[in-house]
Amino acid sequence: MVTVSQDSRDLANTSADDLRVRIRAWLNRELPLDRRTCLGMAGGHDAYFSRQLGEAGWLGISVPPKYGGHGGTAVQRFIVTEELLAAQAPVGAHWLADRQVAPSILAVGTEEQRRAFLPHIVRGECYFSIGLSEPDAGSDLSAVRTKARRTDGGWRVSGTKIWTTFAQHNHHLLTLCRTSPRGDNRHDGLSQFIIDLRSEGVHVRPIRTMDGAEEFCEVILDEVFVPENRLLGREGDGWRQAGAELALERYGPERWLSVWACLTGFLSHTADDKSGPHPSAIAELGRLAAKYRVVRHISLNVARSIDRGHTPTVESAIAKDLATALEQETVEVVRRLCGSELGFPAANAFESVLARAVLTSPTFTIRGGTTEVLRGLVARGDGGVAASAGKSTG
Amino acid sequence: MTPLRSATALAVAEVLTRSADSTLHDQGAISRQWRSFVGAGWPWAAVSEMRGGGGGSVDDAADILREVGRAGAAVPAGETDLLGEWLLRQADLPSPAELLAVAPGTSLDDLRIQGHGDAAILTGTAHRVPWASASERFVALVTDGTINHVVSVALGRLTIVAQKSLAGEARDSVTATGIRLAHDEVRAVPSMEALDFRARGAASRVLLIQGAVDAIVDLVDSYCTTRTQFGRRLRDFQVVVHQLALLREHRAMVGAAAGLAVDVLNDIGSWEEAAAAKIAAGEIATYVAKTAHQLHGAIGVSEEYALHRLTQRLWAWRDEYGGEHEWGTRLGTVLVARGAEALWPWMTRSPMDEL
Repeated sequence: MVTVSQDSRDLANTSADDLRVRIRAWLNRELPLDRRTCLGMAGGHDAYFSRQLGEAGWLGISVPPKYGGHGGTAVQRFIVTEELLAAQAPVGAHWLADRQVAPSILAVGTEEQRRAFLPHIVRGECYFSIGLSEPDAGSDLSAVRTKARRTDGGWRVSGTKIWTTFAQHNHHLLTLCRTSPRGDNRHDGLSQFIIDLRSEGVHVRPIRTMDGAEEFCEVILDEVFVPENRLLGREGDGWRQAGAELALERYGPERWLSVWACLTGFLSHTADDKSGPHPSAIAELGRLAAKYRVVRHISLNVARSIDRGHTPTVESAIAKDLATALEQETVEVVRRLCGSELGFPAANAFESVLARAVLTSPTFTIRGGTTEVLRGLVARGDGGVAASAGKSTG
Repeated sequence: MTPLRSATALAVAEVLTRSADSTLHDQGAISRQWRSFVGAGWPWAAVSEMRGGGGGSVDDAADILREVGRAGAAVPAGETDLLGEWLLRQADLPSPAELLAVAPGTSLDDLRIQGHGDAAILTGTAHRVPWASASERFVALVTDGTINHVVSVALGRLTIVAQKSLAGEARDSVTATGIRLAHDEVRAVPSMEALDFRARGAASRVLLIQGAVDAIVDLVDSYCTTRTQFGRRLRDFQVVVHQLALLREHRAMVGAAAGLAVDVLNDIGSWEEAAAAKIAAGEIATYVAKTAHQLHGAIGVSEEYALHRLTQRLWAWRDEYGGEHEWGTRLGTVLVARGAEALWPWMTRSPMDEL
């Protein structure tokens, strides 16, 4: 393990193939099969595993070495991430911190904030939730009503955030708040704050969803004190900053690997069919695999675009819409061909995953920006101020 | 969103536009485009200079295919250099400076070789051969019952029955009635699989489809911007906005499929990459054609308007060299045989992954 950590920290001269071989070998060694049961976006919240990942050097890949990161590229991060997700690793604890908070702090944070947060995120010991949605601000983020007003030495924040993933477990909330009243330009006057979830006045209530999970939370902020140095970026610039973050949130392999276990499970189910693989199952598996292959390249191309210095707002929206549509199609095709009556307890591991996929799949096209919002963005083709809203949930 | 086009691509586009007429059935326009395209030497673009061609790269030939797709032009793109010449080169047969018509190898074909060496006889029929009636030499991958051979025969010695694709392009039947083959007309290629050739053909169709999709999305965009109904531009209706977005998304997706197809034509991807690309491109072709017609309303099916020239080609090209079911079954069969553990390595094996 010591050797592996050293190897994975030297990314500058690492080819895609080498990196892939290395992370696969590490996962084979460190992640036993009975912990590879995750389904859905970020998978399980497992702080032990996140620290293990951090220790081995698999987090903060594109964070510069002076903040404890590995100075790699977005493509390298993409490769490590897709390997983790394909292996059904429980990446939920560090997920949002690593994916979008670290890049955001790096881009617009102060030197003090970079030093305060980045090394901990990279070590897999500092977890973030994202506070965007509110009861009256879903897809329309400009309707955010949570207010931050100046006070001695900082800010007082009041309001309610909802659909906040893993707020009951995480340390911090990156929050979008209104710092001046809504004026002619509804996108002005919003700012981002890093709020310690253990602060006085923070109340977190998990929300149970129809699949029985408690990933989402409601977070009530009641006159919560936020020190001056926890404003992220510029006051009033929150809309643009959150938009850039959403581009990072939308394109990745988590958008097409949520139900990967359904596909591999169905493949085994087909191969093991006592009367031989059914022709329609074979043809559909071939067809779905082909589309995954192509969608993966769209997603990978966005990472390349980021490495060239772009903020790929439209490309990310395209990637997410295509990928999540494919995931929902997968669940439906597999269900139809599997032919079992799904229920709990399921007859076997495959049907259990499929049953949970049926109950989870409606969220794929909602979280991280609804299909409707994404298509508006793609049709307008504007990558500038657009960056419309999304659920704060990864 | 339209990708930057190369100098080759722009030159092809310019000539095809200059020689084009908007209607499919104007034979004069078709032959003007044909003469310009062939006269410029583009059918031989990627044939090496040593073998009498233009010495261009596969990427140049891919650009030409895209432009022909974009123009919806009835010209023999890729047939000679990417398909026919590739077979001849694998077989070490001479490369004549002629237009080649290449047999796609459909399941109905019964073309075969009987006898060996100087006594080799070609007999049977190849179906759906693109542009056979307008080409000079016939090239096909043919079995003698044991191994594959490449044959290369002047079309004058064969019987051609004219047939057309849904787009009105020549897809003829070519019949050999006991033709004796000379030594430079046939060569055994024991290690070549028919599948590898069919995959190249499929890859060529993906690039044609990409070009046509690109042109269609532009056409729909401009139509929905200029056309007004109920006092509003079409593109100002929310329901239309969604369709426009989906068209752009499909354009992005066919671009990714085309990347895989170019790998195949460069011989750095296998038939499995071609299968993935052709399946995706086939579904995209279906969706884009349907949506483009829906948004255009009645004008889209009129002969005077350009759309049908492109959509009819999508409907033809999605089936040529195998449709979604043929490739899906073939791909699904090997993926199921390899097992679930092999699926992820297959997903990530592409040469496009290079950093």
